[in-house]
Amino acid sequence: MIWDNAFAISIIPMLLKGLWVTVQLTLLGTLIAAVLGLIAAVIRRLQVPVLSHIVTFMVIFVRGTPLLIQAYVAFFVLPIYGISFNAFTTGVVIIGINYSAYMAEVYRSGIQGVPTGQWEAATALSLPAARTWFRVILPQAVRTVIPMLGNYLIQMFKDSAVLSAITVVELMATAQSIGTSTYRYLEPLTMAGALFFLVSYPASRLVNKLERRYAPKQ
Amino acid sequence: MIANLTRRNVLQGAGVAALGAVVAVVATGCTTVTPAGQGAAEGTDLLALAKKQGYLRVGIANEPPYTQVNSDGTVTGCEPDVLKAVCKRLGIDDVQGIITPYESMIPGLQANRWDAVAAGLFMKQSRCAEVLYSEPVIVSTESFGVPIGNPKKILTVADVLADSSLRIAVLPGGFEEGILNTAKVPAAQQVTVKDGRSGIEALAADRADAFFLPTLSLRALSETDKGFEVTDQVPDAPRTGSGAAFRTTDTAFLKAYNVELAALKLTPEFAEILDNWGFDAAAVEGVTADELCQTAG
Amino acid sequence: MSAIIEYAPLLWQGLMTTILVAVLSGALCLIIAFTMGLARLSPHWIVRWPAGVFIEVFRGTSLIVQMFWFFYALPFFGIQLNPLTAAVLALGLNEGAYAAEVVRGAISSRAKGQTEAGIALGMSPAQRLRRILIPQSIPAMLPPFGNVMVDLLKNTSLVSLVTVTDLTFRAQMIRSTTGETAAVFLTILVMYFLLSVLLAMLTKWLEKRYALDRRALAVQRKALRQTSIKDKVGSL
Repeated sequence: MIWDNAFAISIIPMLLKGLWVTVQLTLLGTLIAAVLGLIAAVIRRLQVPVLSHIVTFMVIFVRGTPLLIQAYVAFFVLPIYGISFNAFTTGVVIIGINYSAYMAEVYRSGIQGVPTGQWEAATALSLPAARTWFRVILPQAVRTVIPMLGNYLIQMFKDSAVLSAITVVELMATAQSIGTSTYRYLEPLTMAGALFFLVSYPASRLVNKLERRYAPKQ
Repeated sequence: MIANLTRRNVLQGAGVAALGAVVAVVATGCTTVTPAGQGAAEGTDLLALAKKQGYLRVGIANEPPYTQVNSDGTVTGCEPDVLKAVCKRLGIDDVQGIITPYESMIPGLQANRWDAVAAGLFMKQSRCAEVLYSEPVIVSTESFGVPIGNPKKILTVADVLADSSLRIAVLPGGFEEGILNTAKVPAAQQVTVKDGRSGIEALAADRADAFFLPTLSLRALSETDKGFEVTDQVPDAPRTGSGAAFRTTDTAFLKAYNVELAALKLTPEFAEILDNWGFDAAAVEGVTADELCQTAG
Repeated sequence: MSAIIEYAPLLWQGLMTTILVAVLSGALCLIIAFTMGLARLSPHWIVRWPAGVFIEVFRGTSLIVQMFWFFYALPFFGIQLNPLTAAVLALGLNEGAYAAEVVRGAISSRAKGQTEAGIALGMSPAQRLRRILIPQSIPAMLPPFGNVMVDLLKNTSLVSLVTVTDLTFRAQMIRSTTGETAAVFLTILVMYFLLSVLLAMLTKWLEKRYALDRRALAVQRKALRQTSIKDKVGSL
């Protein structure tokens, strides 16, 4: 028999531990992505002389390079210049930065989607810039952004498996280490895949519902 | 010419090319074999096959001096060099090296991705149960790579057990990881690093206090990186050695290999190869694979 | 840095392998995209449903898990794929599932009127699809396809983890031997960036070439050229 049921059941606790690390990675990474992405989008929008161009280039560069290589650079190259953190922290930060580049684009379109009338009304009421941003523009922009945020969260959940390459002990790494120590790869890899699916599929249905609810009123 | 590239032509052409490419790849890529342990076809004579195709596929690690890949892509290092010499005597001209992490060497061998492992895969009980080892080619010692001056005074495995704050970097699936586990060093004290270079960098980045690796491997790494030092041979790490490893079904090949290996050891060529890489040919005299396979782990 | 130059031929080999993997899996991706995407539009549930399952499963599990599964788990069923095939299969099927949704979305968003006109003209569903809906959907499909292809290109770096000797794999090898970690990784980071920029430029060119309104664009361009000539002549 090819599939060993007893073995498969015995490794579930270990896999669930790995899944928990994956979940933590994803939640923290999304938080970083959401915040950094917003900052990047605002800086680009404000068109600060040099900074905006740098931010724009960084966004293009991060979107154009693979997450794996970015992770390698963060984990192996930065310590040479003195910036060194453990694998988990490095993983969270780098995946957060990676996705913030995509979030910046989403925020940009969200901000652009806010009717110009809002900007004009804010000027007419002599609202200071900070107030305009925080009380008027951003709340409206973020509303349309939430479903996309959900989509990226799910994508990050799946992408986080790449961080196993920089020794973060998440679900994929756990499945791999079970395989190398028992020489049986079928059960751990299949079950890891199933766990990814069992979390991401319902989540994506939820996000679809969110999309319909928050759809921009045409 | 551009005028003829209507949308339809381009799409049709692209479609056919795509289909053709994929079919070609899948056709060349697919072979069906029975997985190891389920009674691989008795008829596959590895020796005859290797002689016919002119090469043997070998799993290696790129960890000098055991294995090394040069800038022009050629595979060398102590173990592959010995393997090549014996293969020549068997009538197999060439050796094709496939770089793989230690943890995948045995699974890859069993899955028929390569026909031999010659990477300094040290013999121990659990490995000897999965593969057939040739008679030993090298005998090896273990050491710690530590920051200059060895601030934490890590010299033995007992030192590691004594101080639970010490973090030791090891390669996953490696011999050293096995030593630590057999000695009941808690997992929290073990830091996984993917390869030799990452281990040294973990030291520099303060992710680990010591890097556990064979003495000679550490010395080879220190040639390009002077930022760490190599301790003396660790006294309470089991001494063991390695030879080439083959699938458990390739018994005929193993017999032929051992015959030629014994003949090679009687010639000066063997001592030359070992000397070249810094190994001591005398250390392996009289040592048998059976002996070394008793090593716990 | 000198080590990089010495090992440049190996890096070049790795680059060629990366491009090969990208092209092969891109081709598979396109095939899967159209097969599955069109299947999803079928009125028969027996065709629609399995395609739906395929798409959800391959989109819902991680690409790297799929790659490892094809490489490490399939041998347990007696199917032995060489690393390149396993990697191309995983990449093509995974990205194909995403691209299938693009195809489905683009075709189903074509104006209803087109389908109705086709029916009125007595065309069979296959003819309608082949001659009207698909050609008209191509321009709408190109930008998201471009995104999928850039994504695929970046994901080729993962094949290094299943022993395919691509750019990343070679880089790891060189780093292992020379210890030039920073130089090696930063070099391939830039190389991947240049590759994705080239791919993006190629996609833009394709978009312009196959734009539905390219005749209108051409007329515009011609008009612009003529006015500028008139200005020059007028100023003499």
